[in-house]
Amino acid sequence: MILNQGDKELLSLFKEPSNKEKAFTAIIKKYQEKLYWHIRRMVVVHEDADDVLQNMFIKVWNGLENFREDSQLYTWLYRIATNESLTFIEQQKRRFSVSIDEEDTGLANQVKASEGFDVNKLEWKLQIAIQKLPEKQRVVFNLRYYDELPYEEMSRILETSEGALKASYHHAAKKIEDFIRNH
Amino acid sequence: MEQEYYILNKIKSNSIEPYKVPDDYFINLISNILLKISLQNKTYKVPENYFENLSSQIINKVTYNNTEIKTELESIAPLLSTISNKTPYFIPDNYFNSIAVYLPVSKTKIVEFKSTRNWIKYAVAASAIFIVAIFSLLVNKNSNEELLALHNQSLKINVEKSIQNINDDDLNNLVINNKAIVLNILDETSVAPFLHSTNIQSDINYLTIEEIEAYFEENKIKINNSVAPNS
Repeated sequence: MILNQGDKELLSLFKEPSNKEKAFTAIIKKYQEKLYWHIRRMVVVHEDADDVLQNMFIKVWNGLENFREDSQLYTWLYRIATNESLTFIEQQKRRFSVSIDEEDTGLANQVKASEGFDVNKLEWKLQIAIQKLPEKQRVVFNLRYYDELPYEEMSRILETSEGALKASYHHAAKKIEDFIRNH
Repeated sequence: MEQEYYILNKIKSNSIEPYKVPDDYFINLISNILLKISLQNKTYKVPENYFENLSSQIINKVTYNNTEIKTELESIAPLLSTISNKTPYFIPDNYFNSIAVYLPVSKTKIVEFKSTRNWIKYAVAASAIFIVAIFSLLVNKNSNEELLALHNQSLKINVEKSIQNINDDDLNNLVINNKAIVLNILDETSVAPFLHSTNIQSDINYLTIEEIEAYFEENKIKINNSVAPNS
């Protein structure tokens, strides 16, 4: 069962022309949910998350052959997903000529327009608070709070020191706490 | 005989073992032998469902410090630490079973059309002159020089006027549409020299009269259509 193989085996299979697509499908199946949610929490709208996920996997396909196995596959995948999400948000900003971090515009507004949104529920307030964070702080918060990654792993993904990430997470969590208390 | 035994016994009683063995050799000997036996028999077994659970185990190892994260959050943001960390967003049913990534079939270089109005104008102007030249040659073949001169003059004026009025979007469409037309009406072997060479006479030698006429007719129509709204 190719789907249950470890990353190293999948990467070896990917290098064999006859198994390339099978191995790639297995990699997608293995990581799609984690990566989807990581992207979705950044871009909010499902259709946008789907586009970003597809684009990131195409980049993975193009770059996987040259992937250096001294870093872990999922670290690399998270890094691409993060970069693609940030690029997408930048493009949206330029396209609509507004700051999508602003009050009542952009991402926070899109959270409010989401199916099932309930302003009285804490988990929805949390989503709005997250969208009000600066983008990089948002990535750090999501990776720690939702994906529960150790700072060491986050440091590899975001290529930032553990100290800076800790400080960033603390700031983000405090801001969110304040927002939830005051809204 | 007795003499021989005497010597051997003498050596034995006086000598120290000349060979050396690694430290702890005998301590590890049994386990080493057992290991070799097990390797020989290939009796390694993996726990039931080992491979099924492998990926989740790896992810769990990565997220091993769940408790540490909770404690950390409780100290920074006590209210936040009480909220469920499940994302409330909806996703379509069966979304994860239906993800299909459309892979590129080959590494084709994609050329982006940028809004460089002048560049496109020059390109369109060059194409128009090229079309005029082809038309001239065709008419030449019919030996009607007066008609040719008149037609060239009128077509040149029309094309130049049209290019002045054309907007960027129309120009982009024109370039894209013309490329599509060329690819539709000509096969790959005849279109290759047509697109890349600058020598009109040698280009025409690659094409049949019908192909040139069809190309000209199609492009003439396209230019007129493209400029109609602004003229």
